[in-house]
Amino acid sequence: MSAAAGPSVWTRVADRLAHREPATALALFRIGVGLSVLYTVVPIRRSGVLPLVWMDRAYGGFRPLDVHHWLIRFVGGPTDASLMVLSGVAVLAGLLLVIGFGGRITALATGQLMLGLFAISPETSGGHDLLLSNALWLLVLSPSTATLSLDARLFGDDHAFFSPRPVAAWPRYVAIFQLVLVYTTTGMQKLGMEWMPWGHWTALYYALLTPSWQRYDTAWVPRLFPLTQVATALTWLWEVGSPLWLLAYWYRATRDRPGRLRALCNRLDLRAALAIFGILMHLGLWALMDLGPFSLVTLSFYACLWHPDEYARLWRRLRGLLRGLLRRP
Amino acid sequence: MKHLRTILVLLHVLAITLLAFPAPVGLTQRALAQPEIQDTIQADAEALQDLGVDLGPQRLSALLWSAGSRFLAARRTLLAPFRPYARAVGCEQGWRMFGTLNRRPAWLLIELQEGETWRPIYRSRSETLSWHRQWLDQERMRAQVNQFAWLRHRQSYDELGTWLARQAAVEFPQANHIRLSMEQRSIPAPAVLEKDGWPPPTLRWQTVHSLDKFR
Repeated sequence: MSAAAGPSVWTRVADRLAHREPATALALFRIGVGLSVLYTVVPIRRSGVLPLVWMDRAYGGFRPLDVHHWLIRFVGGPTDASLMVLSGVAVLAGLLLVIGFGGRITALATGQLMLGLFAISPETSGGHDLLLSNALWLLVLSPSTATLSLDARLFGDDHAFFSPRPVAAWPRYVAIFQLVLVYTTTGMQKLGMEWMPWGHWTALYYALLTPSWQRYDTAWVPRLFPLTQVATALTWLWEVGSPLWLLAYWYRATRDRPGRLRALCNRLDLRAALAIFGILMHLGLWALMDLGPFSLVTLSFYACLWHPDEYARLWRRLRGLLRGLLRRP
Repeated sequence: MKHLRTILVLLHVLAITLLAFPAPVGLTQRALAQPEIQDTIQADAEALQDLGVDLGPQRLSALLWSAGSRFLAARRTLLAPFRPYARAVGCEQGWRMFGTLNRRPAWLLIELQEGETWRPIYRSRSETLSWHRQWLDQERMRAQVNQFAWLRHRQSYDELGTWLARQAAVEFPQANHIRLSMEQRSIPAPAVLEKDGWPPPTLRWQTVHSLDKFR
């Protein structure tokens, strides 16, 4: 290849994956995932539903459970003693992820632990379990405790809770890709006619009236039917259109190149616009439907949408605002 | 090192993309025959007819079965090398969420027989019929009951009934039976629901468990 042609696609991809940046986004992702682990396990322990969900009939559960995961077999199966210990360790693991102690080892142990727990009863499992185990594997691949962590305070080069030490950026890119993959493929699989114009966009109307997921009484839903239709259409369009996120990142990375669409997308910050819709959608889902930790674990991925420099700018701005408020007489 | 990292990251990305790619997982003749799926096929056939493609619901159903089965077989072969990795590290994919809505949802109803009369003690999402709702309304148990609402996992349903009977035998010494039903209702159109309310339910999977054997 001639020098004028520039580096090959492979070289450009390799260079991009070798990029380093502060670990702020990955650390926030880790904190969100840790909270998601807690949101998964603590309600099960507190409500007393643990035997029903995860224990074998011989130990207080309602059915015989045949679990093949190595960890559950190692602890002697889904017994009362093993599940009390494992769920307790899961709570501890969630806390360790939040405070950032143990680096990748904590993430690996938590990942295997949660995989074991989720394998016990697939009938009570959901998409959030899958997303959580994916997130935990990404944390194994990420140096996410390089900042905002006890690890950074105790073992970091400058022994500070905040550390600007650059780390590999590619786990953040993979997390963004994973998020886009979730939305795109879930949108592609919304083939029920309720999502389509010829089904009159009734999906949210039906979902909100399904007792399995209702958080509160939804007697008001029929009155707001047109609103649910608009929300159905927008949700589906946004999901199948989520690869636009990748386009937005491409445009941001090549902002020096010409093109009206590129300039417009960068000026309007297409990435942030898509994220705002997603955040509002998940908050709405969380408020109206009991889907366990689904919104929290998905929103944890959103932490990776912003570059660490943007977090640094936001932090400086917030600190300035706070100081200004404190100085006021 | 740089190139090895690139290869490994791209392999991971390839694995998750292929694993996530939509597929009619769980496609069986029985699943295809479910009323909700048949309703969707009927509507899709009508939509295709409007576009000038006259297949009819039966031919469309047969076409979906044949194409879906072949696609699943090819997918199994393609994904085989990635499965062990995904299973071991927890990066399996599958994002079919709310793909098809249940337009005939069901509420779990639990009743107790005291003497000759049956008394309801629990109904999904009820504020007043709330026996052990701290368990039955927990999100994991909602997911389980949601399976029953689709009339799936009958064995688990019966086993849950036996477990609840054991609890009731201790807590209600005067009762002699417990009865579980799935109260299935078609969700009416918005105007109808607002004016007339919910239609009367069709009771599915009604089972009676004696409490005496647990005393």
